[in-house]
Amino acid sequence: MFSIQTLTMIGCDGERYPYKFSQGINYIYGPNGTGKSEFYGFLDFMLGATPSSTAPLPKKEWYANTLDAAELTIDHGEDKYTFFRTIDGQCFSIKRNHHEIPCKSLQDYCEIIGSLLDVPSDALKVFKLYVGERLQYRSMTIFNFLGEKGAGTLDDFFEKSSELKYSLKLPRILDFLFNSHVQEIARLEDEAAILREQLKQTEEHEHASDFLVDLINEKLSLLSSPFIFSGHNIDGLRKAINECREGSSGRTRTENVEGLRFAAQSMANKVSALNRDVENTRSMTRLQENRAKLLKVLASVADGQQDYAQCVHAAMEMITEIEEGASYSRIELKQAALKKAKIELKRLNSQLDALELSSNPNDVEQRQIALGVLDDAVSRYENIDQSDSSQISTRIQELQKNMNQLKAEDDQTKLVAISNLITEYYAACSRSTLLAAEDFTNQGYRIDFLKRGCALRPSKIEENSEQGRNRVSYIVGSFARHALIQLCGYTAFMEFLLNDTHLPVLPLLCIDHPSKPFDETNRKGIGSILNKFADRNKDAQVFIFDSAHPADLGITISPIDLSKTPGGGFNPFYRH
Amino acid sequence: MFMDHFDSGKSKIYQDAFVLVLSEYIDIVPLVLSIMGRSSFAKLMVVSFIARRSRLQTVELYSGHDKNDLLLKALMQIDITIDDLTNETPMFAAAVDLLIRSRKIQVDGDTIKAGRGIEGSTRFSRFIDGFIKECSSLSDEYILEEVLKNV
Repeated sequence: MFSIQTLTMIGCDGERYPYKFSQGINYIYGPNGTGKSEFYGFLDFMLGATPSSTAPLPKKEWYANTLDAAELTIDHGEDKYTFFRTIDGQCFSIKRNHHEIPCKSLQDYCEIIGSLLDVPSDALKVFKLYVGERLQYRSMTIFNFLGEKGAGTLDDFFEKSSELKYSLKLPRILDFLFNSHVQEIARLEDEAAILREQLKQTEEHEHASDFLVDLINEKLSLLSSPFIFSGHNIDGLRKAINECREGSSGRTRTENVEGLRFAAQSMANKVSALNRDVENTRSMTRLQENRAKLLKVLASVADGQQDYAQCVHAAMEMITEIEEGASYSRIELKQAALKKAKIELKRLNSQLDALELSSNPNDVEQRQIALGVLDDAVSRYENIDQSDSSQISTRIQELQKNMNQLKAEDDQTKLVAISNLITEYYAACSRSTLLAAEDFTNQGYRIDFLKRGCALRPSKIEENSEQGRNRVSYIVGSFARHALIQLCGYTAFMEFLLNDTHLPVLPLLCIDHPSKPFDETNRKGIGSILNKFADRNKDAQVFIFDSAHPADLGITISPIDLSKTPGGGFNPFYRH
Repeated sequence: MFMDHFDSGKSKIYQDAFVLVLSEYIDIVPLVLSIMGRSSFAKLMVVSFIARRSRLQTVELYSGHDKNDLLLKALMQIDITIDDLTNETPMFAAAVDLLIRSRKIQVDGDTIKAGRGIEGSTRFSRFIDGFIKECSSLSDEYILEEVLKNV
């Protein structure tokens, strides 16, 4: 069990002041100006939040020159962990039962806090595979903190999602929470990861193979061999190398250059032809002309034949029946061929240049070196795995498509369950506040959670003589009502998350100034919701920071009074 | 008979070329059939024509790494026109004629199949081997359509 026991403030002179917490509800009371919101933010800081670069704690009036560090004590089963952090966010220290645990960075600090949440490592792996990155409990703190600024929001109702880094992660986390194909998606993602690795290796092999083909051709031209290695005529290559070794290649260097020139010229013609082909879409006219020519020649071939005239006539019938229309061939394929042809032309031209500029190929030593390199290159080429990268790419694309389809399917049972839970929490305060009592007088009143937009949507059933019974959205513009519904969203979500042991979630809920939107008659609704949450979730802690007395909110515990600290506020060493 | 296709009125160069190309088809057609097993006249003609032309290529755009759309890639790789195909059709027909007579290949209804004693291994590049294998599973209509629209 994860439970925050104390937060000890350490002053610049080494003095210490502890705040003690318990299971269930902890109420931090203080009039305006006692640093309740600072305390709320500081708890997040001690739980591993990244220090703000624009407003670092040591520069804030509440902290400057008075507070140096703090220690958070967390009970985990039989063990007691102490997390020490300086307020500049740079120094860390962690002790387990008074024994130091190595911790050099914020990452180590968060890793160790995360390890106390007892989430199975395979569950974290599934979470990572699904969400696409390694998410820790820090990303899930979006569900733990409800600040004053975001109170009363029903659309995108988690307050932390106003920060970009959380808003980007939230949709993926919600997809994960409300998908019934998580295991299947994780398995496919795993397979895709293996294939991506294979693809990388295959592409490397292909690059190596292209490099070796170029090298072999370069050395062959140096040895005045007219042979051109294309990657698959390996028998011919061996013969050509033997000829070079025996000096039996009768061709002259000039002939070899000429051969290359011819090849380059052919390739240049190919490039222009493909260029024209890419631009030319007049396939229908071409079909008619080509058909007429081919039919004519086949008719003459069939004329007077006994043996296979029947075969030729069948071919003619087929050709006659070909319908006009665009070719099946794709323009992309032609463009790819053009690209390949241009690369090949460039290669041939550079080979030609190299050959024309190369030193005397008759030099015996150079020939021997070239032959040595050739032997080595050929044996390397033969050892390269010639598997095909395009097939692997296609398989990865298929997997991705399947995963996207599975990810798009929401688990309606889970969505209904969380909506019911939110409504249940709201119903809990209908006895203590008129707002909720009023809402439940509407027929079929309930609050739905909408995954898209992360919204809370109250609705009721309306009876109409024309359309019969119909569920309609029921949003009454009351800030206090919305704040209560939002609080129900937080408590329901936290309960939902805590029931799933496979998620890295801190078992706590921190709420800053919840009474702000309420008048005195409706404040007790907050207590009804939070008492219900604490009753149902014994392992969770709730931290409420408020200026109203707990009894006004219907909470019967003695609060931590910030006005009674030595400094008269959250920082006990603060001097006005 | 194959001499029916041989136009003796043409020049000496044409006659020499006819015999040369004919002998190449005599070599190629059984090899193609050794891969395809059985084929229509039209498909055999087109595939043999592309296979022969590919052997003449000085440099190749595609290799054994290519596995898809091999018919289209083969058509793009070689420089051919419909006239090339129609000019070679009599030579191909003459080669088929001679091969039937020598029982290297056999006519079976509308199709032509390999005769006895055809070797299984080929002397084509891996790309052309793949192309012939792909064509054996494509319909005759599709192959002819692509050829007529792309040459």
